[in-house]
Formats: sequence, C-alpha cells, structure tokens
Amino acid sequence: MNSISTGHQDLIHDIAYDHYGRLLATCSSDQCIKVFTREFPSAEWTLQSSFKAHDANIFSLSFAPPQYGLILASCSEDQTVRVHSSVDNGHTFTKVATLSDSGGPVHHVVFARFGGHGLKLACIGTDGVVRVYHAADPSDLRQWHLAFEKVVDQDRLLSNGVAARDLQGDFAVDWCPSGTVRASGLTYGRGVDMADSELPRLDRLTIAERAVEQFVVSSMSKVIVFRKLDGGIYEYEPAEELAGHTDIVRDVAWASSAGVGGRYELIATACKDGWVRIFKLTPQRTGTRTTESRNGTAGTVNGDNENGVGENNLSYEVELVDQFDDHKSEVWKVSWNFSGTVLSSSGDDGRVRFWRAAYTGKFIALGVASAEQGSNDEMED
Amino acid sequence: MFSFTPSSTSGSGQSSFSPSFGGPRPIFSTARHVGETPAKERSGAPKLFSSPIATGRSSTAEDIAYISEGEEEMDDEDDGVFTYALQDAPIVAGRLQDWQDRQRTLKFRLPPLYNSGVAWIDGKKLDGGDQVPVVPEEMKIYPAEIPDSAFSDEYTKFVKDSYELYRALTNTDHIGRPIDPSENNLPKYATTFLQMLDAARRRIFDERLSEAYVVCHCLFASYFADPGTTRAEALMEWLNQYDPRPTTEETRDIMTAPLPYDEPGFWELVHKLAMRGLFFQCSNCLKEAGVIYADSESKNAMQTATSILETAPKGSKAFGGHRQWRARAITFAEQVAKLSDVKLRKGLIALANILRGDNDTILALSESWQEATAALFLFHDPAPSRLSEYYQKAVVEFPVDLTVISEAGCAAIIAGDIPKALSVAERLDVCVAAHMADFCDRQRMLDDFYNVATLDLPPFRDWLFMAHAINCCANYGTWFIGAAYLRDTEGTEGLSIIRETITHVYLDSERTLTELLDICKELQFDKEAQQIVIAWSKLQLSRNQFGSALEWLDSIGNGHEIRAIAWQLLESSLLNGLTLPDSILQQYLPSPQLCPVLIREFIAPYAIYFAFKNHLKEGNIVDAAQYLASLIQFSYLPGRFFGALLGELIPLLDRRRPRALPTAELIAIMNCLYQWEKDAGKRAEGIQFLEVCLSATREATDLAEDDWRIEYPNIAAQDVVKLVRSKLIKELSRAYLEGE
Repeated sequence: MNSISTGHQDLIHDIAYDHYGRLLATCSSDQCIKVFTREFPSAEWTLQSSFKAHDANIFSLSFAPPQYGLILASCSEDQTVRVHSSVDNGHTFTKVATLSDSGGPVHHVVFARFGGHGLKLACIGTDGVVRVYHAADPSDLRQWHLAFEKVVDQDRLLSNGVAARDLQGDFAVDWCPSGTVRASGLTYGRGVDMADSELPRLDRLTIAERAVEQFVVSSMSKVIVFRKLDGGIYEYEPAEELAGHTDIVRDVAWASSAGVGGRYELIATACKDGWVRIFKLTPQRTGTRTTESRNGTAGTVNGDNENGVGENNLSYEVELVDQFDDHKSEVWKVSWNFSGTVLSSSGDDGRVRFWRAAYTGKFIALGVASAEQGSNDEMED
Repeated sequence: MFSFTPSSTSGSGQSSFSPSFGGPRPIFSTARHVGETPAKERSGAPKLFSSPIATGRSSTAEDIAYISEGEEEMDDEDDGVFTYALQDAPIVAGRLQDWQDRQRTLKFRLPPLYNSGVAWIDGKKLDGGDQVPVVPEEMKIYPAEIPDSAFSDEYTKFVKDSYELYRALTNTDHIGRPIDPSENNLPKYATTFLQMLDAARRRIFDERLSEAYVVCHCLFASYFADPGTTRAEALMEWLNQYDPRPTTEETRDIMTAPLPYDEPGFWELVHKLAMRGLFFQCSNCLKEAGVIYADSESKNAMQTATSILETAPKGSKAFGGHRQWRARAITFAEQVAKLSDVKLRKGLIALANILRGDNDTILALSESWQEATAALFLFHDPAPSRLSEYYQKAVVEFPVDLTVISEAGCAAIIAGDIPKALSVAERLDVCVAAHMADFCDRQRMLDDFYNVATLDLPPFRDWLFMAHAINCCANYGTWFIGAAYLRDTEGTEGLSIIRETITHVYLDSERTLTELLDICKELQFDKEAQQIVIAWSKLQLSRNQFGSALEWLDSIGNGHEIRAIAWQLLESSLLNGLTLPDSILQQYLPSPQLCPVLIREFIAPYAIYFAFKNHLKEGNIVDAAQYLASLIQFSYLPGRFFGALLGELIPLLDRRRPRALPTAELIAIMNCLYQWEKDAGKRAEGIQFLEVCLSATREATDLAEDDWRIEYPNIAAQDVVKLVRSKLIKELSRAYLEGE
C-alpha cells in the first residue's frame, strides 16, 4: 500500500482508528483533524473529512466505542480535551463539548474501550494529573462529568504543579480493554475452579468474571495501574506500579487478554531509555480492601493481605516478562493487535518492530518495517 | 544543509530536495520507492536455530519454547530479523543519522482488528520546541503490515479451501476417537490437502509456502500414506518430488548416446534410479544399454537384474513380498560376483547391494541424508519402526542443514519428533502447520506431548489454530473462518478471542449482522450481541434508517436507546422541520397498533408531533392543536423542547383563524408554561434550544411553508416565549368572550 498525503500542514502527532478500523483520524500541529475511510478490500485510505479542532497543537485523539455513535475526542496544547460527534458516518464532525480542567497542555486522551461501564475517557497532560470524564447520558454529549482526577507522580512534578516547557516530559494513558477480570482467586472459597476442564467451556469463560475498570498511566518515568471494581461503587485507586523504567516513559499500551483466555493481562511500555518492556499482571487471590496500599516497589501489589483475605479486592502479581532494546535508541510508541499476541514498537531508529507471543507466552521478534529505503528482505545490521 | 520552504507555522509548501540544494544526498526520498509486501509473497528464510533433532527424542513444551525463543536470541545476536521497507519509505538509504538529527521519530499504531497499521513521522519536541521545518514526507502516513499475516487473494482462496476441507473432515471424523483402519479417512483428506497446498504454492510462487509444502508432504508421506502404498514408497515419492534425481537431462544425455553403456556416467545413472526406487526406468536403462556380452553368464546376469527390478513388490504386497524379493537380490549379488566382465561385474554388484539394502553401499552412493534414509527404508527393511534408526545412520554421514527450515522440519518428522516438526512448520506457514497438527492430533500422534509436557498451556494443535485464526480474523473476508476455528479449540482462549473481536467486525450488511448475532446466540455472548445491535442501529441512524434502528433495538429490549432515538427524532424535526420518515416509520406512525410495544411506548411524543404537523399541513387546525397541546402537557417532556413547542403554538393562536384550542387546554398550557419557567434549569435548556432552532432558520433555505419560524426571522428566543404568553392570554380572553 502506498503512502498517503494527509493534507496536514504540519507534523502529525497521533492517529486513531475507530472501533472497526474503518476510519482513521490524524491530528497535527496545524490544529486540524483529518478523517480517512478505508476501502475494502483494497485497504486504501481516502480522506473523508477535515476540520479545525483546536487552537494549538493537537497531541492525541481517540474514537469512542461505536454503541455511543461516532464520537472523537482530541486533546491539545491549548489545555483542553474536545469531544466531536458525527451523525453522518464521519463526513462531518461537530464539536459537542470542551473539557478544560487541565492545568497545562493535554498530552494524551483515550476512550474506555469496553462498553459496559458507560462512556468514559481518560486524559493526562503536563500537569501530571490523570482525569476521567464520564458522559452520564450518552445521548447528550454536551454534559461530561469529571469523575476522577489525581496527580500520578507528585514527586517528579515541579513545585508549581506543571512540568515546565523546557523540561522534557511525557505522559500517556491506556484503558484495560476488558471491562471484566477473570481470576481463580475470585472463585476462592466458592468451591469452583475456573480451570476445571470438566466444566463447560462457556461456564469456564464467564464463571470468575468480575466487573472492573482499570487503566494504566505514565507520568514521566512512573507507570501506575489505577483500578475500580464493580462498576462505580468505589473510586479509582492507584494499585500496581510497573517499575524499572530508568527514563521518561513515552507510551503505554494495555493488551487484550483474549489471546490468553483472560488468564492474565499484558501491558507494554515504550521508554526513552531505549527499552520496550512487557509486564504480565496475573490476578491474585483477593485481599481485604484498603484505601492506600501501594508500597511503590517493583512487582508489588496492593491488598494482598494473607491475614485478612476478603472478597472485595483484586490484586495482580506483576512480572516483567520481556524487555527488548533492539531499537538502540528512544522508543516512542507501543501498540498491540486485537488479541494481545502481536506487539509493535517504534522509535528513533526509524523502524517499526513487531514482536509476537510464542507458544509459552514469551515474546519473540517477528519482523521489522523500516522507514529507511533499501531495507527490503534483508537481515538487519 | 537542506533547503526548505517556509516553516511549519506557515504551512508546508514544497521542499527542495534536489542534490544541488540539499547537500550530497537528501534525507527524504521524493522519488517513488517500490517496497515489498511483507506478507505471503516475501521470500528469504531467516536463520534457523540449533536443534536437538539429531538426538531423536521428542520435543517437550520446553523445547518448543527453546526453539522459538532461542532462535530469536540468535537473531538478536546475528541481527537476523526479517526487515522490509515501508512503501515510499521516506528516509534515503544510509541517511538515518541525518534524519535523527532533525529530532524526528517514527510512530506506529496497529488497528483494532486488521493486520495493517499506519506509521508516521513525528517530532520529538512536542511543546512548541520544534523549530525544524516540516517537509512533505512528514505529513504523510505510511501503511505497514504485520509480517507474515496478510493474505493475498490467492492465499485467501487456499485458506478458504483448507477450511472447507477441515470442516468436511471434522464432519466425518472425531478427534480422539480410536482410529479404525477401515474407516480411516485421514489419508484421503491428507492427499486432498496436499493437492490444494501444491496448487496454492504454484499459484502464489511463494518460497516459504513451497517449503511448507515440502514439510507437509514429508509428514503425510511418513504418517498418512495412502493404504495402497507403503510408508517407504511414500517417503521415496516425497523425495523424488522434493529433490528429483537423476534429472531428466542427465538421463537423456546418457541414454540418447549411441552406446549408453560406454558412457562414463551409465552405472551412476542406473544406481541412482535404483536408489530412488525407479525400478522400471532402471530396468529400461539396462535393457537399452547396448551391452555387448562377453559370455552367456553376463547376459543371464543382466536378465536377472532386470527381472528383479521389474518384480519389486509394490504397495500392499510390499511387506509380504519384501523378504522374498530381498533374498533374490542377495542371491543375485553372489551370482554376479563370479562374472568375468569386470565393468559389468562391478556395476551389477553395486546394483545388487542397493537392492539387498546394504547399508555401506547405500550410504556410499547417497548424496544427502534424505536419500540415504529413504533408500535404507525402502531396501533394508520397510518396517516403520526402523525409520528412525535409518535416519540416525544417515545423519552421521550427511548432517542436517539446519539453515534450511524445510530440511529441519523434515528431519524432525523422520526422526519422529512431531511437535518439533510442527513448530518448525509454523515458522513457514501457520495455516499449513495448523492443519498438519490437526491431522496428527486426529491420529493421536500428539497425545504423549500433551500428557507430559504442556502443563497449563493450550494444546499445541489449538495454539497453532489460534495463531492461524488470529490471522484469519485480521484479514478482510475471513473473520468467520477464524471464528469457526477458534470455536473448535479447547480451553477458553478461542472463545475469548471471538468475544474480543466479534464487535469489531464491520457491519457491512444485515446479513453480516445476523451471522454475528447467530454466533453470539450460540456462544451466549449476550453483552456483545447488545453492543453489535446498538452499533448497527447507530449505523442505521446515520443512514436515516430510523425505523430499522428502532426495530433492532426493540429486538434486544433496549428501551433506553429507543427513547433516546425518539427524542432525537423530535429534536431533529423541531430543528430542521419534519422530513418524510423512512418506510418503516411511515408504516408505524399513523398506525401505532402495528408498533412493537417498546417502540410504541417511546415513540409516542414523536408520533404525536408527526400527527400535529400532518393535520396542520392539511388545514385541520383543531386536530393539530389537540395533538400539540397534549405534547406540551406531556409530563416527561424534556425541558429543552418546551420553548420550541411553544413556538409551534403561534400559528394556532392566530386570531384571524377560528379558535383551535378549548379553554381548558389553554389554561393547561399556561400552567405548563408557568411550571417550566419556574424551573430555571429547564427554562435555560429550553431557551438555549429555541435559540438554536431560530438560528437554524436563518441558515436554512428549504423550510416548509407552514414552519412558524418563517414569519419571525429575527425574533429572539425570549421574545418567542413572551409572544406566546401574550397570545395565550388573548386567546383565553377570546374563549371567554366567545364562550365554549
């Protein structure tokens, strides 16, 4: 497939696909968003609409799940998140809401991908605060409720609470794709074994599922999972920390757990230190709910209190399962395929590297797509 | 170093990348660069791993892990990762460092379902710090596919054909059931699969698919041979196809000579034909050799040789007749040892030794481990249990070339290490590997592997099918095939992937929708079915197919969405004027009894408005007024619509017309107005929406003649409310004056 001239007048900072991968939106420093439609089966992208969406650089954008209609959120250096809606299959978009709670440029915005817990988006910017907005009535997109906000990494922010422009920083957020979690521990004490092969498969698939909303957020070099159980009874709380990054984390991506039958979750990070890291989060037996239990060390979990095991909490055992420094330079983006079995990473080496899960779950190099000419069908030097 | 047009802040313009301005070589390429598709068309084989094949033991799950992971560690060390250039790759070869100096980076994102993502170039200083001018290549997006995952049209045909065969086999066979030889359909299906694969690789011209064919053929020859042939014959047939010797040219060169027997390569040709089990060709060579016999013993020996060759036992008779035939060859060897013609004696002794299965002779005359193994198997003792022994002897003389993937796969098969062979085949083509595993699983060849090694991992067959199914799901037009494979796997992974992907399948038609809903129903994916129907209804709404959207939402009992749509219809009508509804709504609106209950319940406000507008259009003022009055008094009317509906009252309060509303209705409306104004929130919403309606009038060019806003082009929303209140009071006084 050929390259496509987007028509942007400046650098492109982010792209987003709609739920079907049929629409592609791009955003740029030219303050515009452009939406392309994919033709099938030719897989060519054709420009469908273009509109000025912000008053400054647009850094990130995200499509909402399709059951809420065709909705696009974008965030910008103008310190706002804006929500745009289309009622004509993406030919035109209308701004329906402006969310301006951020104290600085907003770097990253992403809609929750699961549909069960309502229309929600998370964003983070240079103020280091992760915010979650909720459209309580999705039929009225003008109304968004700031459901949650928290400083992710207080220690690393400047005293005024906003990262200075000359201090290089980066921030990213991604939702767990599933609105549920499956864990053997959730059936603990109920006389049910999720892995019991005698149980019908469909029962095994759903028996230990529990509603959960969680996202992973990076602020500078800190990466933390936030979680809320059971659809809104509690607030999001910082839970696991994905430790080991020695420099600014550029991107985070939460994989679908479908490829492993929901047995565990995978989160990938792209870091300025040149490493792509893959963390495995395995659900653990539940502990008594605590309000502040993260202890901030690598691979530790909250609430896993053997002396007070209850049923209300969920925790993960965190393990760094793989890490790659093949880029030999800064890594800026990580992205998973739909089943969580293929990871892509890209960075300063001008290459997209693909990794795939082997039989045992470890990741191996699959191939490289290079932006440098003359790289065809050759072994990398 | 480079010359650019104005900077990013003033637009991109054209960059001048000519060498005269741009230094020795530009970083970016403006010339079209033809990249390679990384999919099934690519060629080139990555280096293979070191392997424990030669040990002859079967792989364990740890070995499989070792294979996959170890190989890539080697890749890392040797940098042997397959690389392809993006189409129109923007960085000129060798100028990566210069590109990096521009403070640029490459970003890439995969799509939700398909295997083709998009890469783009971004700056590294986001917050206004980027002063490097932007060039056109930085305003493009570059599609990039996951290597080895994209299906060409021809490959898609192979995928579909192999699925059909799999389905047919599944319908006649049951995995795990003890195989009754008389009912064993596997060889028949294996032959068909191999033919399909052969046709596909010839159509596609793909090196790796051809290698996969070699491995698959080897497996099927070794374990799924037609009952009419022995494994030894099938293996030799595989070898003769994979590595044909002697070549047609070699045979022709010698046999078309005036006196073939005098050609230097004559006996070599004869021995090679014999080694390859090509007995009739071998016999013909001897007959056509033009030998001038020195004595009758020589002539008799030659006749015996051709007789032995022509009576070699074949197929089902081979096992019974082999021992007797071999005894003839042994006797023949003793006989020819006494011949006086040295040249003839040497040639026939070697031939006799081949036919009697002499290890040293066969190994000495072989050129590869495959040839040696197949020949020992064919001539020494064709009992399948001895194949591994022959393989071990052969690889001592001819080590396996592990840098050729297909050779490694075949070696694993012949060594009896099926899991290893499958994992090697997976590197060539996961579709072929999955089907190979399926045949092995049906023959219960993987039982030991599952029982001992896999612990809590999914069965290897299932894992391969999942990998193939994921590729199917990621390619246009094969999602349903992927889902069918996933449904057939054990464990919950397959179902999880279906559940994850099913809502991502683009709803291009109602048929796709119903097929997806059928799967949801079968697998009890209720939430996903709801999501799919809601997404479909949204699509229908965007196509103005409101009736269809409502009916689908009714089918899942989603009153919330139906209500939202009903209000959306009313809002749209108040804003843009009443337009002709789609055919389904046209049927429902005048005849509410035809509506499903849920739709009837929520569509009522819009239906009343629809009736009001129709009566108004037809001049039935009284009826129109009754409908509008009842809508204004509707208890659950959202406050935002109240102001616009008040506006609709204006033409009905025209004193030039007969009175349309009775006193009681007028009082009730005034009361509603009072209540609405009392609620500051509702009033603000209503005024805001009314303003939008009024401004829409100013921009619209095609309002209906009876639209009340035409007469008040510049009125403010607040004034509309005042005007209506005033008109209501006047109408009320008129009612008192005129009496009921």
